[in-house]
Amino acid sequence: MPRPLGERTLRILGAVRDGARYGLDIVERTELPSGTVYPVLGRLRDRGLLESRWEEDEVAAREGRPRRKYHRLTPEGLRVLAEAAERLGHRVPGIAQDAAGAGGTA
Amino acid sequence: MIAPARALVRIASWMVPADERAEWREEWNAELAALARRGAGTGALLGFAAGAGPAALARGPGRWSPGGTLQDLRLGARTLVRAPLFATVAVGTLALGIGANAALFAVVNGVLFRPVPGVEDPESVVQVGRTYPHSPSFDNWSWPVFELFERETEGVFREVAGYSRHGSIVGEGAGAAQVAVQLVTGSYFEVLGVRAARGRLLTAEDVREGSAPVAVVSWSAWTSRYGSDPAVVGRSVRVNGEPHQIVGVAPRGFVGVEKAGTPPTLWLPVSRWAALRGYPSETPFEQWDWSWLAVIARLQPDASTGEAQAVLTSLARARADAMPWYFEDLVPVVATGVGLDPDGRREGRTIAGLLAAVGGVLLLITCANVANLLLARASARRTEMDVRAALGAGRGRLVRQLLAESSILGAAGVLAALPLAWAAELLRPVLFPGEPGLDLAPDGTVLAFAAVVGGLAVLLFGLAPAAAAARRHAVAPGLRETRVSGGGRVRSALVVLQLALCLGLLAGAGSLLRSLWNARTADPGFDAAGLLAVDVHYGHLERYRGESPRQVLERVRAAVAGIPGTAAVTWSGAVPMADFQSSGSVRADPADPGVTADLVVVGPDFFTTTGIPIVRGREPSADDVLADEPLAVVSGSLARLLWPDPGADPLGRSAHGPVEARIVGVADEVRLRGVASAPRPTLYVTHHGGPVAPRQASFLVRARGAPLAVAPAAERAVGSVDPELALVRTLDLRSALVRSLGETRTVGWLVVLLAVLALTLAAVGLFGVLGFNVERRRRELGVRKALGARPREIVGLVLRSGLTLAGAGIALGLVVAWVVSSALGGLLYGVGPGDPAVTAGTAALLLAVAALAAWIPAHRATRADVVASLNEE
Repeated sequence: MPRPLGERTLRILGAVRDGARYGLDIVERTELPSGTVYPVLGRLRDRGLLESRWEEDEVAAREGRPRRKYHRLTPEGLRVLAEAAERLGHRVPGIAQDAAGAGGTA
Repeated sequence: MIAPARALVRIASWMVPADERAEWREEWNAELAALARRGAGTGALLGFAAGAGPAALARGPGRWSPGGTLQDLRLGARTLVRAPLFATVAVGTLALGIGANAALFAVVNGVLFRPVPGVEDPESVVQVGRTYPHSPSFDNWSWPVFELFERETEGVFREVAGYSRHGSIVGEGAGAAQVAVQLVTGSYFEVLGVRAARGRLLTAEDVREGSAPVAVVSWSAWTSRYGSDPAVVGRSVRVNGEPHQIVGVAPRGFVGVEKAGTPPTLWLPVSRWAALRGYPSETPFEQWDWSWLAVIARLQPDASTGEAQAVLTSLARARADAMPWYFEDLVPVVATGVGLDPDGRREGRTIAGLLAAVGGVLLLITCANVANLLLARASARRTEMDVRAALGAGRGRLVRQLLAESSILGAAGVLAALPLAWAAELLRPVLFPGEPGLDLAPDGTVLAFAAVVGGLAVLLFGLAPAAAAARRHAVAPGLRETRVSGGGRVRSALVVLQLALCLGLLAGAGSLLRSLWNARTADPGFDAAGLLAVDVHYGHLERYRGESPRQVLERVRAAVAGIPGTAAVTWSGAVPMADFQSSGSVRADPADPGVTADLVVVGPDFFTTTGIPIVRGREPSADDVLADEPLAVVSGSLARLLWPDPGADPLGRSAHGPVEARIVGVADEVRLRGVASAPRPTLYVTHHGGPVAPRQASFLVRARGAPLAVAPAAERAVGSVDPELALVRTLDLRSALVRSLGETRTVGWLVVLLAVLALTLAAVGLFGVLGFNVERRRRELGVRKALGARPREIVGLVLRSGLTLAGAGIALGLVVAWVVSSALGGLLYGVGPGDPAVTAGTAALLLAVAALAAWIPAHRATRADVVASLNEE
């Protein structure tokens, strides 16, 4: 049985669910250092709670910038986060469902 | 500016597996670009990019993460706890190796690095000495030159001070003792930034002409002699018979600026010089050629030692015409820090180098041992490792786990080694017998060093087994190896290396021991066996102030000569080989340039008593000594230097040294300065010339039996002449001989101890390897037994393999031994590198120990259970 997720991992999941799609946004929203966020993103991907995609080339080319990778929760990821929110939501910021935020689909 | 951040990402990306690298980099660079578009500065971009390192590590080999390391450590600790015997042996071995190194470093630290206690900001205090191109040294200065410094060095020195060491008699009657006293200028304590623990310290006021005689007492003297009396300030103390008032106590641990020698008990103002020497008429304060003051100074904040040297050089140049014999060619030396003078530091650095080498060798032997232990254990744990690999632990993970275990062993080894670091301080009386002021206790520096050595040890012993494990599991995780050939060869090689290093250390120890033995039996040119020296001091006694010293000394000599058991008695200004030997210029004619010769003031029967042969003429008699005309005996070499003409007869001629003396005899060459020194031209005179006559002499007694047996009677005889004569030392000259090789003795003891340690470690290592080999060959040995091999043959097999290893170790060790002996160089006496006796002896010792270490495994091999080993498959 996989280890339960730590607080920082949950906050990152929450940030993605609430609309932070790019790594930079997640770093800013959770206020965690990039050195913490990116390894977690990698582990979440490995466990199937998160999926990542490259942007369409045209979108980036139109805006004259390099393409970025964006992340979103898988259904499994949503479920795990919802469970954790029920258990801990009121105690840990960023986990409980944002009243204004919707599900994290692109 | 995004470039530095991108560079950081690029560097970090090398830790990411090759197939993911390009995309990984692209993602990071894209986010950096987004951040830059938002207007972030270089700093913010770098801050973001800093996370690339840990992120890459997490993606990289073995998926490292901080949590993983903790896991590895926990697992490692559990594994070690489950193998207590192995862990104990490994930690114990490491403790010995690391501890020995820590103790050696404690010695080096105490001698070289540790600053003199009580001095404020020691880095800006300097010692000032002078040297000349034709005779390198670090000499003192005369008083008028010191005053010159006081006046004209403000640009580079904030303050200068001077001090001078003296032996003095403190107290009176039966409670009298000879102690070290320092005469200091008024600025001394100010230059050093020392504060009084009680009362006050000396100031410029105390040095003024006509000021009251005062003294500052040291902390240790205050506690031992005055019982920490809170009312010590104001008490009076007699120094050489003169009363002085104690005005303060120096702070705890402050012993002046010199680490070497006896720490001073009292500090007196320089103005007390005359009273101390008991000769009010002649003082050194006006004399340019009387160099007695050691000078220290505190640098101006913006001045360097180079600038100071330049200023002093120009001062010297300006006076070179007026006083060429002092100032011409004078090279001032300004050395940072106090504690040891430049000569002492050089000596200290040599010893430090040697100790570092020995310590390094010992560490290598220790690490070889522990590596062997780990390798042996690794082959035993092969199954466990294979299972782990099969379950998905990558190569990196296994390596990290092994390193974690090694780190735990290393840390435990360092902790266990700490008590050993105290060994240096405990052994100080043996290693440095004449230096009670030296502090070898471990401090923060020593502990830090122990930690660093521990880390180095982990690298040395941990990498080999970890690499071996990595290699094994890289090939085909899960496949079981049927042969352990690789591991066995490495282990044998390690043991051979250990034995070789061991032989090197043993050879070094043997050479040093042989040097000490040679010294004991060496011929210094006079018969040191059976000679007793008794030092008598009377300068502090008022009643002898007016009397000619020789009359007093003759009375004492007659008294001592009267006791049974003495064959001859004489007196001398200094004890050969035990005391500082004075030297000076001697000329055949006052206009000649002088020859440097050793000067000895002697009493009647000096040559008969010491056994120095007179080759021409005669020795001075009692009548000669008591008469007014100074007489002299010259050594053959001095005679030849003064009168090079082959037919010249020195008898009847005059030698101009400290006094003008008529030569009555020629003596053979001797080594007065110690057995390791060369014989020097020597002048023996009956009358002391020079500014002040000492009020002390050493009585040399030739005893019929053991010298120390007549010591009590001799001391009583002195007391019968005058009970208040102070007996300051009684010495058996033979032991002074050995002590003159002080440095050799110190290093010798250390190397012997370490060689024994190394031998033990190597023996244990050999024992381990042979035991392992026996285990490995159990099947083969079982078969042999079944086929009828006798126990003797089995033992012979094992012993042979053990002795082969030892032989290889000895062969390699001979090279190491030669290197070690060459490095010891100047400390050896009568022993060269590759000395056959030492080499043969140590090789034999090593073989014997190897045979012993091989015996138990050999014996166990004969007990190998035939059936069980045949069944093993």
